[in-house]
Formats: sequence, C-alpha cells, structure tokens
Amino acid sequence: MAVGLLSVSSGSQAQTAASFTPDTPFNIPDCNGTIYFAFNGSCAQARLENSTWVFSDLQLAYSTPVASLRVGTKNCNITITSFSVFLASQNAGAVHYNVTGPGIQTFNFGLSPAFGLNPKIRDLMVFLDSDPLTQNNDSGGQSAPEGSGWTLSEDGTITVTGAAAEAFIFYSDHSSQLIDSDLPFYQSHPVLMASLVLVAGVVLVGVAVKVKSTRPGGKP
Amino acid sequence: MSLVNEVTVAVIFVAILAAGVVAILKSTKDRTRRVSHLRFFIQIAAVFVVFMGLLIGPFNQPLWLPLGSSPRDHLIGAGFFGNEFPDGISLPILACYYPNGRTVTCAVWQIQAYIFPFWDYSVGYNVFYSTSGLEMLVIVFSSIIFASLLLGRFFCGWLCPFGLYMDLLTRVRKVFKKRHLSFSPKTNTALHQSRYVIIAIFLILSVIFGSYSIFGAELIPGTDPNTGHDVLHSGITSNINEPFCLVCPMRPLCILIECGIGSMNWSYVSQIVYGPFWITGFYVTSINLAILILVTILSLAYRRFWCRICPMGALTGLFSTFSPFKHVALTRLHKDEQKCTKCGICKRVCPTQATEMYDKKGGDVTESRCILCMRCVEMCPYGNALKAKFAGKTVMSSRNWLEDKV
Repeated sequence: MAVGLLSVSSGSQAQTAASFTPDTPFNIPDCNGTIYFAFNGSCAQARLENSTWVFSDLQLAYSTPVASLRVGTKNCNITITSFSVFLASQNAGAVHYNVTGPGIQTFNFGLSPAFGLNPKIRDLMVFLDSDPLTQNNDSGGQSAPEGSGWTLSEDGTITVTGAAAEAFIFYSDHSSQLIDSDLPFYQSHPVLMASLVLVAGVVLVGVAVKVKSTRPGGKP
Repeated sequence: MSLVNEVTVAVIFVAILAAGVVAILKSTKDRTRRVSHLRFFIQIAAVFVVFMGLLIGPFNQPLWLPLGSSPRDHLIGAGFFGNEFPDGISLPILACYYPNGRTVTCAVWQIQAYIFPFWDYSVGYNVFYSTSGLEMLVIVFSSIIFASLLLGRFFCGWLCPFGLYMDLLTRVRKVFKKRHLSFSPKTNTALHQSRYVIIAIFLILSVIFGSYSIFGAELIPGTDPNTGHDVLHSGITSNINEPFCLVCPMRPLCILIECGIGSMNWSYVSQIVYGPFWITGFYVTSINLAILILVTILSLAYRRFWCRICPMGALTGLFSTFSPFKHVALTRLHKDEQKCTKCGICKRVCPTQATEMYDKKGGDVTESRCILCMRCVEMCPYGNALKAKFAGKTVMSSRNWLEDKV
C-alpha cells in the first residue's frame, strides 16, 4: 500500500524513501500551487526547497527512474502524467503534465551546467496545449518557440507560463556526447573506422579466395 | 538488462538454435525438403533476433510512451555504437526501425534518413547524432557492402522477415493445393530490373524532401523545416523524409505485430495525424496497407513476388553479383558443367525464376535475382553438379538421388 507524503507547509523539509499515489498532494503553500502525479511512484527523497519540490531517484509507474527532478508551480495545480528518460546515454527525456488554473510551472531536470548556456548541446521542445504525437488539434503539434510561453534560464530551469491545460517538455542534453575534436580521426570516429575495416577485411578474404581458386591446381 | 543477462539470453538462444538445426537435419528424412525445413527454421529464428527489441521491451506503457525506449534502446544498436550511430546495426533486410527496438535496422530506412539530415534538431525526431550525415551514409553503405560480400542475398532467402512472410503465403497456397503462377521470362526480367529504378526514385525523393537542409533551398514548397508550421508542411518535413517507408509493405506488418503484443498503442496507428496527405496513422499510411494487400495477393500467386522488385534486394545484389563485387563475394553458387544434364529442375524450383543456374555452362553463378535459398542445390538430382560455397569451401552440394535410394 502506498504511503502518501505529508504536505509541507513552509521552509525546507524532507521525506525519505517514500511512495505516493495519484491522490498525494505536493503542496507549495507559498506559491498557492500543488503537484500531483497521475501514477503511483516512489522516490528516495522529496523535499520542499525554495518553493520547489526536489525529488531524488524519482520512479513513476511505467516510467524509467529519474535521478533528480525539481518542480515548482505558482498559482496553479499540475498533474504529471508521464516522465521518463528516453536514452540514458543522451540524457534525453520528456515530461507531460496537465494544468489547472493560470499560473507558472518550473522544471529542472538536473542536467549538465552547459544545458542552459549552450544551445548547441541541447534539444529542448515545449508543446503548449498541443499534442506533439497526434497533432490533431488546432496548433498542429508544433512546439512553441522559446519566449512564447516558456523560457530557459542559465541554470537549466524551464519556466512555463503559457500552458492553459497541458504541456509536454522534451529535453536532450548532448554535452557529454560531443566528439572531442582534439582526438585523432580514428579515435573520434570508431564506428566509421570499424565499418571500413570490416569491408577491407572481407574484400581481402574474397581476393585471397579468388586467387587461390584461380591459380593452377586450385579448386575452381 | 545487465550484460550478464544479455549474454545468458544470447547463449540460450544460440543453444536452442543449434539444437533446432541438429534436430531438423536428423529428423528430416526427405532430402529434397531438408534444407527447406532448415531455412524455414532459420527464418523464424531470425525474426526473433530482429524483433528482440519487441520481445523484451516494456509493455503496457501509457499513451505518452508508445515506443518506450528502455530497455529496448539499450540493445545492440544504441547501446553498442553509442551516439555516433544510435540507430542500430544496418542489415540488408526489411526490418522496420520503429517496432524492432533498434536491434537491427533496415538499411534502406537509414540511407533515406541520413540523406535527409534529420539530426538537425529543428526538423528531426530529436535524435542527436555526433557524426555527420555523410559519415553515417558511409557507415550504412559499408555495412551493406560488408553484408553483401559476406552472404549476398542469403539475407533475402534466409533472414529477411518479409521473405518469411512470403514463404508462409506460399505454404498457405500449397495447403489449398493450388499451383503457383510464373511470369514470362521477359516480364520477370523487367520486374527485377525495376528494383533499381524503384530505389533510385526513392533516393531522389529523399534528396528532394531534404533539399532545404542539404542545399539551403526548397526544391518543392513545404520542405523548409523552419517555416513548415502548418499541418501539411509538418507532414512533409517530418513524415515524408523517408518516402520508401511510406510505401513499404513490411511496415504495417511490423506495426501489427507490435500492436498485437501490446507494445504499441493501437490509437497511434488508427488515428489520422497528418491531415490530407494519405496518412491513416502515425506509422502506417494507406499506401503501405494497399501495397501490403497487393503484395500479399500477388505472393499467393507468384512465389517471392516482392523479392523481384525489392529495393533492398537490389542493393544486396548490386554489391554481391555485379563487378567488381562479384569477384570477391564469399557466398556463391557453383555449377559443374560436366555433371549438369540440363534437366531444368533448378530453373523450375527457383522461387524468383532466376535462370542463370540453368543457362550458364558452368562455373560460379552470380545472379542478382538469386536469393540463395539453395532450393536448386537441394533439388538437383545429380551429385555435386550444383554447390553452395562460402569462402571457397563447399557447404552444400547436390546429391545423386539414385545413390540415395540405393
């Protein structure tokens, strides 16, 4: 049976190793906001810190574990319906949530410091009140450009202000994936090199077989 | 899944595979069916390998995770190659990228996808590549060349899931005791030659749809990903950049399997998502379905119909049966002129109506139409007249039926 976390009224308080249900409210009284999760889940620790809920080792049903998540909401309630990491190697993930009431929501996924600073190493799409997968609504499933209903701060916090009913945030942090340009070519392109070596190898074997079969005395 | 688990699964699978092969070779008394039974078994095993991502994937996920990603995305493709090449191992078989969990990937999809540089965030599927499209194309073509030189169209005959589907249709036809139809030699040749036209058309279309990203100019309106913000344009830029996939008959099959085992939400297939562009669902187009139905009907009548026009088979054949590749291809058939009596059995049993085995006087037989199913070698009644060779070594040869009976 799930054990609901207690609502925290103010200051910095923590609950450790707790599970929660869709009925468990994560209140932020200072901001008049509450966070719910649509599924059962658990986390190693949840604490309210500077009007933001900080979840460690968050695990939602049907979702992959998330190392760290900071969620805040002001003047609205949100229900997080899905939150998963897609490719652990790419630090890619997505969160979808429903919103009740006009207000502000903030998310910080605990990515690299460069995520908020360097646009080249990040993919970030925010869909406001549109379904990016079905695209069967008026907005056509297009993500909103930065500044139109959402912003990204240098510490990697995404602040959504333009969601009336739902929002979907996709993020991907590639900072650890970039090839080090200082490395020699063969080290920085191992798959390419391996592919070419394989082709060269099979060609060499083929030539050897051909030569062996065509020389006098060889089997045809 | 930990490495230990993966190795354990692999060992168990290989053990079952080996046991199955031995059991078939021992139990099949009819020597004219032995290789066919073995091939059927290998085809089924190959389907399990290709779609391993489905079998061990996460099930019953909520709507927002139709494909999931973990643990399937940590299989061989994404996990082994990493970010340099995260789309899975390229193989010359029809194995749709999306449903199979990236265990392996259809090379035709990769070629189209990398021509259209969707690793550009603004137009893509949010997959980040640390390598250029040109480099990835080199990797894909290297993979195809390697596979083709190693096994040639053995992939078509023994490993391709769609080949298995057509063979199953042939078995269905046989249940009803209906004899297959055959194309005239002229028509058959034209069909086989059309493969190269088909793949050329689709590659050109890929370039056209990716023109803005490649050349910085739209060859047709609506392909500029930076301005395509309405439904129609988003459809073109995000869904037609792999044009062959929109007509591929394998795609609906993959998706039916995926929905059938609960790994994909059926609503993703059934709902209309791209408005007026003939799209019936997120993954399947009405063209896909129509071609699947057409190919199914034709494959019931004609053996291995799709193999005659398959662009993937064209690529494999190109890199294994044409000069200079054919000189170094390791898997090949061989005919002994002295022992052949021109009985014509090899020609009649060939599922793709390849004729070189019959027509050629002797020596190595390298014909792009041949899918290396070995049926001709299996059925040839003259001992050692036909041989299948790998790296110069005979792995199978025709048997003298009269001696067998003695």
